[in-house]
Amino acid sequence: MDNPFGVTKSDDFSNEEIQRFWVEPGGVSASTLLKPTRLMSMEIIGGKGSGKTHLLRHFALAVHNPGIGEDPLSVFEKQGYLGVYVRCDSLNPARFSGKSQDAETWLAVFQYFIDLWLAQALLDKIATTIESEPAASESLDGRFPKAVCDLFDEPPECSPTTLNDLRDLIRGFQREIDVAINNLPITRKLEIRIRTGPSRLIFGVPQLLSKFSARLSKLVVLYLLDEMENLSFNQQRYINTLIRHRTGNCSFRLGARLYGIKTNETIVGEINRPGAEFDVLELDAYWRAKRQYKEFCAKLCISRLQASGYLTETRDQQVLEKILVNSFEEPTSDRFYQDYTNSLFAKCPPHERPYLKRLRNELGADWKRQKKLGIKRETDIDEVLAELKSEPYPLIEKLNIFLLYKDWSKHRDLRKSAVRIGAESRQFIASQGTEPSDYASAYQHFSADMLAQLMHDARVRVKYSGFDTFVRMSSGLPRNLLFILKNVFDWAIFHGEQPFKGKAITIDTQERAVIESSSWFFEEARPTQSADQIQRGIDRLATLFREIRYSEKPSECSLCTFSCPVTALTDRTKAMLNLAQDWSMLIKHRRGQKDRNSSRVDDKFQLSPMLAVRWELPLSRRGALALNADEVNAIFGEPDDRRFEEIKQTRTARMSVPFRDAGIEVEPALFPED
Amino acid sequence: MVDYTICYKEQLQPDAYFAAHTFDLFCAALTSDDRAHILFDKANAHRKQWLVLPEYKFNSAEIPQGSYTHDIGTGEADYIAGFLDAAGLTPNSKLCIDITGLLAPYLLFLLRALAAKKIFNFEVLYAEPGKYLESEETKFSGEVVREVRQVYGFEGSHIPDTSGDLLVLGAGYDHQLLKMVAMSKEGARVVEIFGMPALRADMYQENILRASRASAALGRGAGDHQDNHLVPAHDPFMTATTLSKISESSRFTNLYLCPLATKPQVLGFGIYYLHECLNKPVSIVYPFCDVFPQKTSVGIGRVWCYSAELELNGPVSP
Repeated sequence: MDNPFGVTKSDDFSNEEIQRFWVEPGGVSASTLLKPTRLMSMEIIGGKGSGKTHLLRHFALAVHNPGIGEDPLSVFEKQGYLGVYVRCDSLNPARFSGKSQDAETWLAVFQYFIDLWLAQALLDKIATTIESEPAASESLDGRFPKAVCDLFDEPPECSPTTLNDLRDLIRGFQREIDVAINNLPITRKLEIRIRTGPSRLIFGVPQLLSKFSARLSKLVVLYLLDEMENLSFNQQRYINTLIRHRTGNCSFRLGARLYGIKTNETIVGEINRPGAEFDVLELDAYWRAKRQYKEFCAKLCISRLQASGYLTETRDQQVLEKILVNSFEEPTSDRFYQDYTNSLFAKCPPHERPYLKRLRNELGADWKRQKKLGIKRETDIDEVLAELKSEPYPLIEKLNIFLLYKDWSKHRDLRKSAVRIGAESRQFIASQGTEPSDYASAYQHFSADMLAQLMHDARVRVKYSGFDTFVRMSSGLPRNLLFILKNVFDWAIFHGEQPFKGKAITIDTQERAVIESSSWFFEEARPTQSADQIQRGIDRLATLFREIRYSEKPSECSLCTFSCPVTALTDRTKAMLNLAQDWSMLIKHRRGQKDRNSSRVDDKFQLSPMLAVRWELPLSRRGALALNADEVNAIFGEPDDRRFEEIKQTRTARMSVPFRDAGIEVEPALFPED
Repeated sequence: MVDYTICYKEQLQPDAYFAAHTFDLFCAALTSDDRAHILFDKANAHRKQWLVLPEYKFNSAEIPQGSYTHDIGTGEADYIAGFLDAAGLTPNSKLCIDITGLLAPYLLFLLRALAAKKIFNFEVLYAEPGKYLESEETKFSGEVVREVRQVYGFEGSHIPDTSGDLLVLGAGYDHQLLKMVAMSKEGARVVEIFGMPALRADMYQENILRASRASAALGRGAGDHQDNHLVPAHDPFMTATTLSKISESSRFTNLYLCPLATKPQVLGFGIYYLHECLNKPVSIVYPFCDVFPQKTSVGIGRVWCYSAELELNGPVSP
């Protein structure tokens, strides 16, 4: 059975599939984003899987097919642009370096080569468009090839008269370069005749096309250069020069990973500025900021499912989205997750629930040790536990205990605390959580963490299920979503389920798929450089978050984010943080975080939700852990674990019984109650 | 399609082989594997020379006297060109190369450079391992890939149309390397060649296990093995024939070849390329690592001799 999500990379799509699975971004049309008829160039920056290639390839294809008998070039005329898609890796750019030649020589060769390459790509595009319509091609035979030849310094030996001859001629010039480079290591001589000046073909051929073809006269030729990260610093300088000194009717759209643009400098050292020489579209940041992202994701999935014969019963988009969302089983949150949380402890008598036993032991140990905190005799412990118990609702019990730990860390009288917390919880239950109160606020903030802790207590993994969860996990990278769904589908089939045909896909199946997807991402997001160091840093950070989340008194709710003063970090740590962002392991939040003790605004970073799953952390950020420079250096910059372990101990000691370093010493009561 | 299997190969007994053959030059890459040293010690040649590849990171005390060394960082072409300049070989020289420890780019460029020097016929030896050190977890490289690029001299003449690009991967144990190569040519459809029969009975499964870890990067259809080919891991000529068959039966715009498995496979890729692909839209790409482990196996298995004939269909010119 074909997996509707089997193809996760648009590279694997045919042109026909690129159009079939194209989904307009929510809210605006893609043309508004890419502005294909605008002459100012644009960088389209995004993480791996953010949809750059699909976007660029979509604009390389005609939006409409020509009608019968219609001139094929008329489709470009109508849309006002002609997109020429070129993957930079196809240039095999690494060969324009080394081999005992200096950088200047290679730059000159590369300029000539890419000029020939783009000219060929453009002519190939025209030729394949008009090959089925001889009438259209006539206008580009004869004078057009001759005019293109005039762009070379000297007329070629045999003058082409047709478009195909012209393509062969340029291909021949390119082969001269290829052969010379191939033989260079043997002959140790690089003998290349550069036959035209830089950019003359890139700018000249589009102008000649508009001159010789009435259909193309008002057309913008859009060079869509994808995978820019494959070009070296110097090679990018040439592209930047083309962007700055562009003439005529062409423009550039550059697709690059987050780290892909190495410079905005031109050959002569001018700096291209965003907004002046080029626009920037940051694709994954764009997705993350858009409320319509979920809608876009739903459409993306529905188009895949429908192409595979699923969800064909209606065309109503809202109904389809509902069917999609309902295709995934999720635990019901009704009555404070009563059904789900009771099922976790089905084999355990209510008074034996592990978190209650643990609290009893901790109170007992503390009572024996110091007899503080209002516990005067052993039976007081039973009273405290009785106040906190809420047998039908394990989540409420867990929250009660968390609130007690908070009071414990402040050295309050725990008998009084338990009475107050118990009363508040009963009121909260009675109002079904609708009345605003401190307790309700605590529930709102910490219920997800307490639910996760309950699962931990029951020795099961935290569940991540449901379409919304997967969309959140993808965090602006649609490929991540497709990969999760691909795994969900595969696991569902393996478990004998019938995905998207009736019964919802079980939580168990989703859990397996999510774990697999997270592991894949952890491996996939390995940078070429410093991969082990980055993975170690991420592992430490996530471990710290995890220790805090599963501590008795987590300092922050839904912890998956930290803030820090980046300027105070070591260079090595800064480099690691940059790499982690470049590979989408960390997401930087633009607004930063105001430091609690000063007016300083620190940078704020979220652990990728794809990775959060691996450490059973929350997907959505709420609290941010304020780390100092020393701590961040220990996490990302130190080769050995010692310093990190010290920091982790210090941090978590404040959040675990007996709450050392809480900083508040309680005064002994003057008039003991007994 | 060219059938390279008519070329001569035999499994040999080193003692008997070297008793019957004397060479002008015997060369092998220095590693710490038993198999390289056993062959080197037995070789019967007027001159025997270790090639000390910078990636193995031998320190000067570990390098035998008379070995050929070259500065790091200048690439496979400078290294091999320097070695051949110093070796003073002529087209009539009797040359025997043990490719057991020779890293793929060096081996490939050596073939290209020998052909350019009109040395078309020479003997190639390969010693199989007794056993890899860590079975399928054996690391054959530092797994930190500096870059994926074309091997010098095997850079082809490509075309801008990438719609039908094809990447043929000789799947080795290093799944990270497989992944890196696939990621460097993300637009290409991937065909994998696995060693079957493998050098030893358990290696095929181990190979599949490792390669499966890269399946996500290999893209559409990876993992369902429809496009996979099985070629004996010790047979360069079957490898070359298979490549010839694949290229003939596949419609591709650009073809990228990447030999990541055994050295005989690398040899097969090189022979095929030099005979059929020079200056076509075909190139050999490779993930370059700065470090390779000096020792990956213990003992010695079968020893093979291959007669390289680079003028099979006419001489190979630069």
